[in-house]
Amino acid sequence: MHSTTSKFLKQARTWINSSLFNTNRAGEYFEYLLEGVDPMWSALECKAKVVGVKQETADTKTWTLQPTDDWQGFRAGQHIHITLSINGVLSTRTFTISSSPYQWRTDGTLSITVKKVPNGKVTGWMHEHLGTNDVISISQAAGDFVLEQEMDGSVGYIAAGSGITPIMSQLRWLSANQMPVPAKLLYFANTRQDFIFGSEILALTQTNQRLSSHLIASYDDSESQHKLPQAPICAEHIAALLESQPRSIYLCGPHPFREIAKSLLQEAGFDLSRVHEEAFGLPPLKVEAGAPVTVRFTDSATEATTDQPATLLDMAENAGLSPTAGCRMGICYTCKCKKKSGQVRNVVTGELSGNAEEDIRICISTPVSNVDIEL
Amino acid sequence: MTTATQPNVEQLRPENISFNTAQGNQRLTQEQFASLQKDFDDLRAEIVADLGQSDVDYMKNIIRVQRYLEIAGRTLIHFSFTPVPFMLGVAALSVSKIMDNMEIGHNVMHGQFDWTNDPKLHSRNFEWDTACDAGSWKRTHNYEHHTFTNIIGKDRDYGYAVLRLSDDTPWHPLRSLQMVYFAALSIFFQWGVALHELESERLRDGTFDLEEKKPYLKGLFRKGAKQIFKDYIFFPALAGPFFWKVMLGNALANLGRNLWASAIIFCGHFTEQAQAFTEEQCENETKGEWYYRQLLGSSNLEGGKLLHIMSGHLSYQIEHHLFPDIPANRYEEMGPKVQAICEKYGLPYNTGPFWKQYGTVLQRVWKYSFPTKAK
Repeated sequence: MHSTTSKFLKQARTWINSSLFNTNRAGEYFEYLLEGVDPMWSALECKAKVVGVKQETADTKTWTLQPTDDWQGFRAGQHIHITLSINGVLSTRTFTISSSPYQWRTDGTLSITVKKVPNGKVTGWMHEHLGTNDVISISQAAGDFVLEQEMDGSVGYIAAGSGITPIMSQLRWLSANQMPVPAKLLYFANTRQDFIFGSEILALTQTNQRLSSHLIASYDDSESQHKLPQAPICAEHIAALLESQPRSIYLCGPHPFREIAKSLLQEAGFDLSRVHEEAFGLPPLKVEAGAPVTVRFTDSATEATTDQPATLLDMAENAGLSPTAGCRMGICYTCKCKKKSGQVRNVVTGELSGNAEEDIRICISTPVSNVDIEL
Repeated sequence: MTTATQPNVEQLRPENISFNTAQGNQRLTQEQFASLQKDFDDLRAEIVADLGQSDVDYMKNIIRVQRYLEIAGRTLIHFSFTPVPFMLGVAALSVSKIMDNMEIGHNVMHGQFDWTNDPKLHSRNFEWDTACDAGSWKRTHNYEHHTFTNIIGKDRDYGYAVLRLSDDTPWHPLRSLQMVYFAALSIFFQWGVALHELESERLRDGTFDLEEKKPYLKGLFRKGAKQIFKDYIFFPALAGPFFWKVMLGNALANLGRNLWASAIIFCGHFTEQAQAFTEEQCENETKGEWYYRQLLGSSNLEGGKLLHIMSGHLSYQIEHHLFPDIPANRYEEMGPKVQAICEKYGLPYNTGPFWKQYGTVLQRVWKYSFPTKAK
């Protein structure tokens, strides 16, 4: 009874909003008015002001953000989506938080640490333009790459490159809490200059007896092609990590790196169900040779035929459409559209959809048959 | 290997067909059509490359002004006890509705701001303050009218199926009253637009039956009910004993919007110079010939900044029809360039002051109320 009443009230509110404001959310009507008064004001989302920028390595910077009061905090290892306007175009990207929840509790700020991706539109712009006092939109924190509530036994960490960021959040948090459990870190980077937070990690290791770390560079420096003897992750690294008998392992880095690390862990007899992973970006798309498929974008009376299907989002953009999209990795649901018919594959999980009408995220869906999509 | 296709653009085969225009003297050769196409495509590319923050800022400011006017208008209508503030409220509300429909809604729904990736400015999400729902509008206007512009029998905007505007439509005794239909259509314009997709003339001649129009009718009643609720129930009821005063104010504001919107829209295609085409003339049309038809079928209005904004830049109807998805605030700078291209090919660029153009519309409606004398 109660749920029927609340459902009815919700429907009534949506109906009244749409008749008075021509949108289901009244906030949308007022959004630009609020933004015009103060860029930190919003009826729809959390805003955050940049309060500090720090160069970490040659291609990595940390931005410290002061979010509005409606931001609800995070657990070490979680990520946020940030949305910023690049010459009028809104772009959303996902970044893990590198600061400790302790920092947020003390001064209400959080930090993201971002490596400049070669030719990356958003990270490139951030490195060049995003400065102190700029305002961006941020989502609430999300993600399962977090420490277990009931921790017993030690924790193992394997990070590569900028994959250190969520792990750094956890290390900082553990350290601020006097290391409730022992932890051991393996951290891989191309050269010694590329270790983000390198000196801080060493300092933490020195002050905390229960924390040990092993920083492994693949090359002497970026100029030299001389490979160091301890080259990328191998069985010895894993064996050294497993000596500490970790209860669970947190793994973060590029997709191929994680695949190698997991197979080494499996060979060493570690139970993969105790491995927590944080993925960056989409796995490489597997192109299956087959008959050409046609995707019809029904609302725009446009279609695309190809025998090497990309994601539906890429196909729509290549066909000259501009669908709304956010993270481009299946997290934010901004690009959700109705598929009217046809079968698609989820490029993250590999799952096949049914043929029926349903909502799909076009950024992680690739057509398997002819597809009609409401776009 | 992805190929994108759009109707009437890439699919069309460049065959040597000639146009029998009203003047008969603007026929271009196939080479000229190809070169005309390139000139317009280049102009388009030049503007697209330059789109950015200033275009978004412009639209956001227009939306802010519209919101402030609507809030001010409804407040004045609600609290006024003498005619002057009441009429000021009516004027503010009317102007806000005109801005919502013309400079904001019409342009946003053409997808002019889809590139911003802002869900509030995206054609998929936008709904406006008028009886016609956004989906129906995008079908009848964006697709039918903009693709088949001024083709008798295919462009149902040409005379809105109630007006005879050229000899291509046979005369009938009921046509002699078309000045009356014209006045009624102007007064109830928002409902005329909403009913457009019903295609009553095709229901009568049995092209299809009412059953096929059910989804459309559902949308019509849903949106129509919301508009009636807002302007004739909710805001009047808020005023309690002054129910009828607020209802009258809202009705007058809607009337002002209807008269203005219809006048602007009639000036776009029904002026003396604007040409109509037959289906045969447009078979296998190339993109260059499509540009040509858009150019000859549209007419501009001369005036100041205010006229351009209040007409939703339909005062640049020619530019709008050549480039319907370019942000309308850019038409002003495109105008002289389009005019130069017209001169290059000896094509007319139909423009004039508002009253003169509207005068020719009235003359045309009057002239075709009578049977055409055999030549």
